[in-house]
Amino acid sequence: MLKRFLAVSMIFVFCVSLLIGCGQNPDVSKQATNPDAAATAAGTQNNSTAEKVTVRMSNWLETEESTKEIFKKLMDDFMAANGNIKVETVGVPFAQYKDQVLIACSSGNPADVIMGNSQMMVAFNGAKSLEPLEKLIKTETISDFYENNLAGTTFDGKVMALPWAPHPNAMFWNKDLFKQAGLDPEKAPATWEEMVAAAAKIAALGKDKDGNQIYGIGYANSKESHAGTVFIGLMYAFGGKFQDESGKITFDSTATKDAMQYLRDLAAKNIMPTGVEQKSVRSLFASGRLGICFDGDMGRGTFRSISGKGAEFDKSMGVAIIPANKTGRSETVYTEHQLGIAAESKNKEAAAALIEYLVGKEAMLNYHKAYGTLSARKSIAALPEMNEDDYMKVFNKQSETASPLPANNPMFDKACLEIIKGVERVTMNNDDIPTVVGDVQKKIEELYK
Amino acid sequence: MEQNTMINKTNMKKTGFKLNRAKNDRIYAWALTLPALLVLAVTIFIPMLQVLRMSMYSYSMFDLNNIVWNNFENFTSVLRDKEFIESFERTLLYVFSTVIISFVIGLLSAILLNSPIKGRNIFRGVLFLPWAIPTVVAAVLWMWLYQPQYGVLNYILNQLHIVDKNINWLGQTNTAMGSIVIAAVWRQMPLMMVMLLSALQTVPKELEEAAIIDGANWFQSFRNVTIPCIMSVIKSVTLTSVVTNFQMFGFFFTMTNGGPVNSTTTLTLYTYQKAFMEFDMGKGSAIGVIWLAFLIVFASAYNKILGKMEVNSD
Amino acid sequence: MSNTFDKTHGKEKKKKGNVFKYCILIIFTVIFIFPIYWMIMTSIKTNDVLLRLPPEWIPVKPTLDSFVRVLSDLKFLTFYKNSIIVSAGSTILAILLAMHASYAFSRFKFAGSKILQLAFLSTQMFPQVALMIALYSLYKNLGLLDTYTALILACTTIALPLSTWILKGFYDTIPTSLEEAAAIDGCGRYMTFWKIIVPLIQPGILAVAIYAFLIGWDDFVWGLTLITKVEMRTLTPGIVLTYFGENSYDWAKIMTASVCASLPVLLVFIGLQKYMVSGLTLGAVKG
Repeated sequence: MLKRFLAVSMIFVFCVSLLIGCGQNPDVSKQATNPDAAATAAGTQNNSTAEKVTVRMSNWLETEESTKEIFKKLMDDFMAANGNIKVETVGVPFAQYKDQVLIACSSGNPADVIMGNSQMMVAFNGAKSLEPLEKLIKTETISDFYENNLAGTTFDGKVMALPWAPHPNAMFWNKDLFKQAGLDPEKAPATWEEMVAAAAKIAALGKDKDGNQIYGIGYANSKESHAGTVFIGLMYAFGGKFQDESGKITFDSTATKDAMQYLRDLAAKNIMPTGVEQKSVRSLFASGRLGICFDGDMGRGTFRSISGKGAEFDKSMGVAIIPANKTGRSETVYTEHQLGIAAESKNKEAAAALIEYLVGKEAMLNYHKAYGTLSARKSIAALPEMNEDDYMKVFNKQSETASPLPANNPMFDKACLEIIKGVERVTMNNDDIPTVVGDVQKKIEELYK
Repeated sequence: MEQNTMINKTNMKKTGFKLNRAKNDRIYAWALTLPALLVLAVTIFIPMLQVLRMSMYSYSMFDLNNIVWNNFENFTSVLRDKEFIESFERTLLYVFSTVIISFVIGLLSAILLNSPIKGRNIFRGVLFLPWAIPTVVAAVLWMWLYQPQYGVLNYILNQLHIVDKNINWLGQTNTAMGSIVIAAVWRQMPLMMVMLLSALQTVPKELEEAAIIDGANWFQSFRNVTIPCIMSVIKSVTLTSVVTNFQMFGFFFTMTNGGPVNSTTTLTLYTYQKAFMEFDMGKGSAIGVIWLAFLIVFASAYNKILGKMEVNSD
Repeated sequence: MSNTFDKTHGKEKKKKGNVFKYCILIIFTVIFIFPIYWMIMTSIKTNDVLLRLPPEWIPVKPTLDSFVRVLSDLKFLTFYKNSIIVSAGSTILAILLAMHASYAFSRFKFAGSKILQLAFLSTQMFPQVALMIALYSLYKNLGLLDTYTALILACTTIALPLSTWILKGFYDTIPTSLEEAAAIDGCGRYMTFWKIIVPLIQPGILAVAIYAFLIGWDDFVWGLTLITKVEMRTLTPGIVLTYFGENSYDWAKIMTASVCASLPVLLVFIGLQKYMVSGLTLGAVKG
């Protein structure tokens, strides 16, 4: 009786320990290639010891259909040139990325190289998870970056991440819809008024032959913090600023109210869809039901893929810099992918080698060829290969007047979420604009305290 | 139990057990529950205690080494926060809507499937399917159905002229919560249905028939005979549903992220935002503690109230 | 139903009643099944057809292209394998643990038994998001990150409360006289438990098995947090990882992946569900 019970508990304990034992799975990483033959041809990035070092890189590029192959190629190329460094990639879906990296960092288990965008990096920096880079990266590399971009990754006077892929937002228009509305499909709207008028004309087309509503212009205006960054770009176009030089929040301003009013008017006349996130805007544009939208350099690749038409879709879309509004110049923001090194990394030199490679000429040219990515480095952005067609020329031109996101506080992501809630109140609930803007201003001040 | 003790005494004599049987019982009982307890202790009780501890400190993700005892300030600031109260209200609205609606539909289906109609096994199997679909997949599926421009729901409603334009189900403050409730009910009704069905099948038919012969109509028989018999199952299944729905994260995070304008920010999302977007682990933990306290009180009260309505038909 | 009952209450009335019942059942079924039907239909269409109205009720040009692309991705098959291992593991563990604990709750009213039962349920009364960091640290300190063990433990924890409750209901229906008889015959307590009682609640065990398996299959948060290596990923986080990108919703692919994720479970389920229901029935589930 008791003996039997003891026997079973022994078996149970045994099983549990088996489980724990089995739990230590042998590493069967499919990502690693082992080019020991290349060891002799190893470049300048060799570690002082001849042992193999494993560098982990967290990212979301490997989770996206459009970037997973080029990402793998970049990793493979690096490993081919650096025989003693093995790269293990940790993919996390974009929506969960920031949280998962923060969890890993605060539990002392971060990846060595951390990818991020502007909003995420400032959060990682706030959590003291990043390592200052001046000592790890060559000075020539650091000084090769545009000042604007480098300012976005410098916190408290220290460079905490390298700008990798800036994505300034430019204007896309649908040539087929322009033609239908009686506008010249080859001519981009050159002024703000032209843009708004074109949008109205296209929305006037009403429904298409399948009974779908056609919209004139689309801004991401709901649900995610990214949409908040879109609004910030719009606010800039109306002459506003998120913060002044002293860091004081200047959200509550005439410019912001004008921008809100602008969105409300578009929504009221059904020229702009409400309650949409950026992904939905892209779907609408790719399916030919949106006249004008705003997106980064990855737009072409994305639209080709969502529309199901591939390169054929190029014929239907045009891209140009956003027309100037109140400030007299083309205002836009850019989101940026950046690369940082974990403060707790045990392989900082190897990690530094990896990120120097990724922002370097060979990697950037490959990345650009595959995906149209821009570089934030002066020497690379000027190369002819980066300016090979009109599409890229437009984006390089847009970069000239693109402002970095004011992501200098870890709460910036939450602030963007509050901004978009304000936009929702204005466009969907028709709340009073000055009240809404005042509320958002107060909320952001609270967060930033 | 007296019979037991007599036999036990005989047993004791036979096997020569020196221990008092009652004590032996207790040791045995504890030994049986110990493995489960151990697993739970490691995987959840210890972390819960840690979080409880976290709630008493100013614990920001940015300053993990600088935690300061903060004299329940986390709790007072959370309870005074308007957004907390509103999230709590929304959570209650969501939980009770979902539980009540899925219960009613589940009960109806169970009653129908309990009657001797042909092919009820097929219906039962088919009606159970939604539960086999993972929550996150169900969330995306419903997003697709609710899609304003190409979703099939809008299309059907427009064709039937019930509405005349595309409604942005998840993007409008007045429809977002309801839309999520529908998706949640869709996924959770099957479990309710199956549990209630099996409970119904244990009600002795003679009792129901007797009531009807005595002149009660179907409804009265149901209310006075059937329901008390299955009350314990109703109690358990609804309580579990309430507790699990409080936790619902997948639907809210995927479909609306708490929007539009906070109309679907339930307690889970609110906690998530405090912890991961405002990096205030102290407040996030405090919310967890309040949540736990509320549910324990609720569970005990619920058990008591419904327990009175039970009938042990032996 | 007794014949006299039938005679007094008319077959006619029953027939009309039956038709009415069928109608309601069919309406319910259509409403509940339509989303699944739509999921399957979407998975066999191409993206350009999806972004158009009117939607095709039956695809004009059905294509298995998405399926080929999804299934030929070795990663997907890895996710599948991992999910099966984790779900099966947590099912077995949940059954073993619940089996013993609920027997104790059923048979012994010992001091603290009610509190323990509440404690079991209370493990679900705490927000998962607040636990994430604490749990991640715990598993990291145990060296269990990126292991099957961690996920199995996490999923077992979620399934345990209801599993215990279900089995307790079953045990409650077995009269104690059986154990007494066995005791008289000199059978040891634990042997009685294993050889006599447990076989009687097989239907309950099956019910718990299906429940726990689906809980493991459903898990998203823990699979995402505790596992970082691609080759260890389970299905739900894997799908989100692979198909819910930064840039766009690839509806056809998402639906295809969802169908692939759900279909086998659905089939197994349809096959076994009658056991589950009859299992619950035989047990006369009484809390």
